[in-house]
Amino acid sequence: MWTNQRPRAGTGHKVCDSRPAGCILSAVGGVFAVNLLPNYLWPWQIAVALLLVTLSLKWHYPFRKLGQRLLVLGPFLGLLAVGVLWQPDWPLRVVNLCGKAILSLWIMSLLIHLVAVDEFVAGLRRLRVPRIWVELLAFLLRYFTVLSEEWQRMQLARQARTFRRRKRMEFRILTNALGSLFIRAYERAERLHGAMLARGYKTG
Amino acid sequence: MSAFVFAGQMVNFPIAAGTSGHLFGGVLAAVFLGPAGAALALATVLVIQCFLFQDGGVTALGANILNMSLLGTTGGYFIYRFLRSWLAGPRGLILASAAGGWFSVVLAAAACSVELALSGTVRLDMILPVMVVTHAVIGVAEAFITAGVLAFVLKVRPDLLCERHPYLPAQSAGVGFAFGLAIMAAGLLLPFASSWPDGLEWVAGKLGFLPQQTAFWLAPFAEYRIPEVRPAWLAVSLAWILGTILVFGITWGLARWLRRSDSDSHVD
Repeated sequence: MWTNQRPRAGTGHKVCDSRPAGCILSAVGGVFAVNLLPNYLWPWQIAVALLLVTLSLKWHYPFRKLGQRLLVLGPFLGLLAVGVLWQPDWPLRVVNLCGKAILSLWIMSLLIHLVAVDEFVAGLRRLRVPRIWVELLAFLLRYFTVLSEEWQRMQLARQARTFRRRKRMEFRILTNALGSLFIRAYERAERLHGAMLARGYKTG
Repeated sequence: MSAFVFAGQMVNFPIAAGTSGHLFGGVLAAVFLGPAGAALALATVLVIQCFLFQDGGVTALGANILNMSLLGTTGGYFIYRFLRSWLAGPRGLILASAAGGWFSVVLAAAACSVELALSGTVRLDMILPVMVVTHAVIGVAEAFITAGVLAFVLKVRPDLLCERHPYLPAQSAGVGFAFGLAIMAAGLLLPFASSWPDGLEWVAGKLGFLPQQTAFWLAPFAEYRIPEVRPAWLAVSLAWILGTILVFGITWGLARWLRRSDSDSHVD
């Protein structure tokens, strides 16, 4: 899972430090470019892959991460590829589908490897993404870890009370726990919003 | 407005966990925040997924937002509102939200398969039944979770459930009613829809207007190609880019227009 720590701590490259907006733009542009390649020009994907290998080596991108992401992607891609098999020119389509999906994933993964969280948000601001939405994103990123830790704490506390689940009750336990996480999140949001208003935050 | 949205992003977290497992909790959020807030919240989750977890494509982001956060959430929410006007009391609320949750999943799946077929990747009569049937099963889990969480919140903090949202004034309830009815009908009929195009084609062939009808609803750029431009790959790419810009422009203009017409009834 992705954390609030800077993902590139220790690797020491500063490519995107001062220009996160440019990095985001070029990554999105790269993904679009890869996907815009017509199917019969598939050999160009190899060129893109070689470029990505070079960049990844240069910026110490951990290839294990790419493998993990591909494992998640695999089943969906497989399902779609099976659907494509009924088309007349299926080998070309399957090659393109898989190639483009993997390359896009790689580009995005590289972007997140290079750009820290706060810089990502700053970059979006720079790109004039609507303010309310950037704030929404920033808060979601900030509190994602907080709430997932809260969820783990709740589970731990329940186990500490020597809680044993019965098969029949399993579902009710899950929804009740989710519901109480929900309520805690809501109350935290209200507290936070009050605190922000008290410190001069302007709405809208 | 912003208290509303800030509460929204907090509501996100249970959803964020769920979206990866293809349970998206849009109706759950909509019951708390109204459809507008829930759509915004879900869109944020989708963006984070595609940028930070890379669990979704950037080029498919628009389609995902349309399917899950707009169609799924608003569709499911209108089903919920519609059923809610029939079923009173806490039990009605839970039942209606369960139905809304189920429909939101199935609707998004159906929309996704239609989009895939329109893009020419797979055939509609193949993908639609698969997607709808699998998501009808997934939707049952979604329905149960939505209902379970709502039942708990209703017991502990019933004040959090606001039944009247500033973004859904009373006049639009009639529209919502009609919309919900239409979606419900569509949702129920979708599994059978796969046999229709054949019938239509048969009729068209019988009447002899099969060649003309393709020209009628094809986009300005046939086969995503601008005919005058050479080489061919450039033509395809240009058509793609123009189409993207066009759709973006339409959406942007629509959003601006809706915002302007909304501003006089704005509740802060």
